[in-house]
Amino acid sequence: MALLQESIDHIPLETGFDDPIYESQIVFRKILKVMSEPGTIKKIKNKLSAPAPMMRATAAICLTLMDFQTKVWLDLPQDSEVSKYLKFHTGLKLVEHSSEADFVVFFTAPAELPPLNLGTDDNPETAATVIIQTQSLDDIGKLKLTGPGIKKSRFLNAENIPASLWDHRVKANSLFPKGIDIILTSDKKLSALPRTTKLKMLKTIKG
Amino acid sequence: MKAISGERKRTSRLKEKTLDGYNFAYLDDQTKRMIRRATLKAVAIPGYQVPFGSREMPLPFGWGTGGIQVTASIIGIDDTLKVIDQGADDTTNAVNIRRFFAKTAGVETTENTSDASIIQTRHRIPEVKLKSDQIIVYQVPIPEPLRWIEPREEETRKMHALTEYGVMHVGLYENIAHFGKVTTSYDYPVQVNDHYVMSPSPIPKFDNPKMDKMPALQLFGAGREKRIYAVPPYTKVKSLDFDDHPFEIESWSECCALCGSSSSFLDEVITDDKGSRMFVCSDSNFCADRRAKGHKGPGLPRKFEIKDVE
Amino acid sequence: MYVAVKGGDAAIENSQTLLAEERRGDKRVPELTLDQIKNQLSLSVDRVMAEGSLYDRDLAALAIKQARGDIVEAIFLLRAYRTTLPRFGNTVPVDTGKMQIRRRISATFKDLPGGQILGPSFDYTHRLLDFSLAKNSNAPLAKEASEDVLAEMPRVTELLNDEGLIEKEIDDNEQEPFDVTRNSLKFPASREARLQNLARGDEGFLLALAYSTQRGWGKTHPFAGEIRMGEVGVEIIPEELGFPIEVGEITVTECQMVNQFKGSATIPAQFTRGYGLTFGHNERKAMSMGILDRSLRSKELGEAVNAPAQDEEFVLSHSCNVEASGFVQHLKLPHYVDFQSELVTVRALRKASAFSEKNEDSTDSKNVEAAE
Repeated sequence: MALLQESIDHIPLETGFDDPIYESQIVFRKILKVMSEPGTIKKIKNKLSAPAPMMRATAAICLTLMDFQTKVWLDLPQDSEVSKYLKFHTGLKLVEHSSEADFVVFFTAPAELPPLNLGTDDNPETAATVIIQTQSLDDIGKLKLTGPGIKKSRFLNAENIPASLWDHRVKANSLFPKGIDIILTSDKKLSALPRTTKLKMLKTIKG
Repeated sequence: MKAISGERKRTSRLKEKTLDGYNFAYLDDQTKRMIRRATLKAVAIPGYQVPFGSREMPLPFGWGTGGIQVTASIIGIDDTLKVIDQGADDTTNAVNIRRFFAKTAGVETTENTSDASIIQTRHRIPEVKLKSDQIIVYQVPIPEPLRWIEPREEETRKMHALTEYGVMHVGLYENIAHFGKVTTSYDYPVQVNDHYVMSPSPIPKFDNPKMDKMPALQLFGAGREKRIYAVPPYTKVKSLDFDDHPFEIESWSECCALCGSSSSFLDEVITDDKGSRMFVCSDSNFCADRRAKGHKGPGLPRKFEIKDVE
Repeated sequence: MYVAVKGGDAAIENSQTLLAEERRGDKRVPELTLDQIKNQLSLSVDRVMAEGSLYDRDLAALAIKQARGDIVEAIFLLRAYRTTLPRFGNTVPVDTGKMQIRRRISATFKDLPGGQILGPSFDYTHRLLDFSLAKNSNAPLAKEASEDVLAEMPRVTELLNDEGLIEKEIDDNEQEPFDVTRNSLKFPASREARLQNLARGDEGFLLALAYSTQRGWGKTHPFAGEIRMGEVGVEIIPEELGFPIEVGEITVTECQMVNQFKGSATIPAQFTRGYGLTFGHNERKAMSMGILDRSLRSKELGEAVNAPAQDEEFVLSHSCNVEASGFVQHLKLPHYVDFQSELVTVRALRKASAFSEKNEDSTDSKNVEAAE
């Protein structure tokens, strides 16, 4: 009985996808779109409720991509509500060190990146995918994006991301094909910066 | 043993449309997630072959299982699917794959290139320019462009890691020395975003230029070889060549017997045992479209009628 | 567009109806039941289960019936079904030491604890067609043995182990084993990945390669240390219980090959092992696997690698008959676009060479004229 009681305690109040197979496909296509066309912004429409400080787009991405085969590191304590929620809905493996993780989630944008798996020259796909929550996400901004998936250039504004983080990203991506792929979220919005995207900080806002 | 988590409760919106007892689009969600993760990494590293846990499909390996797994992992009920083999919608294999998705995913299918949101193909890229928001999924038999030079995966993996592609150029150059030109006519290797050398799948080299800066997303699935790779939209794709021997594509002195097109890839059809032949568009939808718009070719030999057998 | 290639739904459906008709054959002959296949074609069932990587006699029998007895096709059917099944957990490694033995032989010792148990075997049959089977046979019941078989039959390799004469098997259960059905194989492959690959590999392919090493293409001099066949329990450890419970019983054939090894500066001379294990009763497969497992260790043991059976990537990349059969037969699919490409190229080359020959001819004749 004690066993049963314990497992009931583990059921979070917040709900996941109502219709997982259907909804995760739709969310995946949005992730695929933003990853293949960096700087594009997509919005999720799912009705899920996520425990604070997790934003809805972050939750939708996690539920879509994570399961017992993925190692995940969160910038939150292992016994946080978010951890419980994700464990319950995806069965993911939480890891202690950020360098072991396939997915790294920052609920608050860090000033610098912790040690991350950048992949290897012959297996660059093992590198981490980094999800970062921001205060707002717009296609008008001082960040100028160029690279694969972008016709000429795109512009982006990701609020509350310390400029030093972009320097860290440049360093992590300096030895292509090694590098990290970033997904940015803000409430219901998502955008992405794969390792091939070049960023330039402009003096004025464009878009 | 792991308790089944919150997933897999209801599939209400999908179950109405799909085959009883099977998952939506055949693959279970766990497999789809694995393929989706691999696909995202493929997109993030253009032209790099991402290994994935390819599954046995109910169609034989070598018959499009890679493309089918990719399509099954991305497709949703709002998609419209087009399937072609050799450029045509009506070849048995294309019909069979389309049937598979109609049965297991209940999606709408089309022959019209512009109406499709996903196009699965074997050996061709449609003649009509693909648009942004469309996805083309190629079926790939041998994803490794270096295989014919070095059969060992252990070695080719290193060559890609070091972008050591000199041998590839040497191979092509030997070809020139022997024949006076590069004689590779299909599966002609390309370099993606100035980095990875990639197999475009066995499309004729005629189609190679269409890959360059294509507005549509290009995904490649090799089921038997367990690899997925990708070219994001607007990405540079260059066919390997030399300054003194620039890349060139096939051309025909004839035009399509049916629609008169002189800019499309033509199939040769033998019309009698004396070796008479005629040429028709390999892209059946492109050809039909032109004919509907009133274009006419020189026509078929009299005894060779078009029969639309259903 | 043309009748010859316009397949369409109707053509595919007609073909499949025809196939079903051929499968059934003459309707005056009673239809095969799955029980008949399971019981009387049991070795076919065993092979389909082994290479189909799914232990289910009923489904294997169904696959054989559906495939009209085409074993590779039946294996494909079972594999394609298998991939749709959810995974509940991993089993504890089966303990063949506790096998309920039906057959156990050793070629290395005349007698040994537990004895030689011949069991059901084709080995000493005279391969004479038994015409009595053409009619309904009344197979006699075998006599029950006068002695009980040991409940825990010691393995020959363990007996050698006592003296340190054979390399130790490393018991490394800490890490979750690699799963070839869920991951793409990487080279060099781990031993467990190799053994899994061989266990589901095509019997004919394994047999031919094993044979090639015996003939000197990559030398292995194996002794069949032991072959045993019988039933083993399959256990899982449910998370909520924390101890193993038996969920079923399967028949397996195990082969331990013993090979010579010269030793090195650090290791004294000792025997090395090759291991084979298959579902069901299949000694040909288990022995081939044992030989190949050992020959694929050549590199690791510092031996010269110069034959196909020693080449890991060659063997493991080509062992799967579902992959091989699909790719060989995919040549049936239309290739006329690629062929057209080649035609254009070959014609252009011929035209170019005819042109240069003509030019050479005319230069030659000019030269002749000049000489005259």
